[in-house]
Amino acid sequence: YEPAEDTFLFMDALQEELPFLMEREPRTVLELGCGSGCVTAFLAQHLRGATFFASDINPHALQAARRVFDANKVEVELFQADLLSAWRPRGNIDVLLFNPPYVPTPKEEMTSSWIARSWAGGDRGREVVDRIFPSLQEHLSAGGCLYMVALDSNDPHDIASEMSARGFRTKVVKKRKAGIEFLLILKIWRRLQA
Amino acid sequence: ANMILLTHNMMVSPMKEASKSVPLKIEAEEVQELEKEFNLDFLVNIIDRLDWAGFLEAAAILNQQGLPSSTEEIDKTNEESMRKLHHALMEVDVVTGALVCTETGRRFPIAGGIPNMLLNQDEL
Repeated sequence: YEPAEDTFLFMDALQEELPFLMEREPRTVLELGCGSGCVTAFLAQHLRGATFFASDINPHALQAARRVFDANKVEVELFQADLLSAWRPRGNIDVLLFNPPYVPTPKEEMTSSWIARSWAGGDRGREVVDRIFPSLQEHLSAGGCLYMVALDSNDPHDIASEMSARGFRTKVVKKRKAGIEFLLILKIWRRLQA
Repeated sequence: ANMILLTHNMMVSPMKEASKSVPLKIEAEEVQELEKEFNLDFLVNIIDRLDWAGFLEAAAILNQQGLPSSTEEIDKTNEESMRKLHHALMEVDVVTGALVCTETGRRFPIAGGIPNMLLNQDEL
């Protein structure tokens, strides 16, 4: 399970976001669908003063992530879960990271295999990531932010308006051509009350 | 490593019938103590995020005594008590055991320090 183009883009974006992140002094960082854990391992090496958590639905991914964390000498709390279903909605998350299954596919493909679960995103490639948006208000801390990977086909403007209605701003912090598509890293964070 | 009491405090039962505001109950079989870097700044800040009663209950199950009974009693200038808090919150790892949803009785097993919070098909 080798890191791919989107993982590298994600890491590059987070590297560039480090000054922003360090200023916010996050205490809790959670990566959903962590896969092999490269993204969390990277951030854990650069961001001090936070506790890192990572989860995945796939037990093989968790074992791979554990090896990556050990090899990189970073401490990350691992658990197996379906997105935020087992996370207490108490504004506990300062930085939420998600490289979701974003490829538009027929619905059946989403559950066809463990590997398919990592990339098959159903209708508009949005069926998995859409599940975290409604509860983001309850999960992110006041200064919290979500970084996520998306394709142009996922309709990021639609994501931005959905999140705007919930009081969040959305920005494309990095963009890269990948074949005939564009890979995007979106940052979603609370609009500050005046 | 895993699962520390900080993580337990962040988690909740994923069962549909559960209220999302009740802590999971820890069943501990194999427990390890693993040293973690002491960071006073982190500790002071994380305290406000904790369900303190839930933390005390879980700490008691893991035989961690002598913790302040409320957050008001925490004296962050008392290094000894802050290190004790650090130890209980960050350094006691449940390697094997379970997290139990007290509202439904459902057990979520912990193996190799990793809690498995997935629901079965018939629970979805």
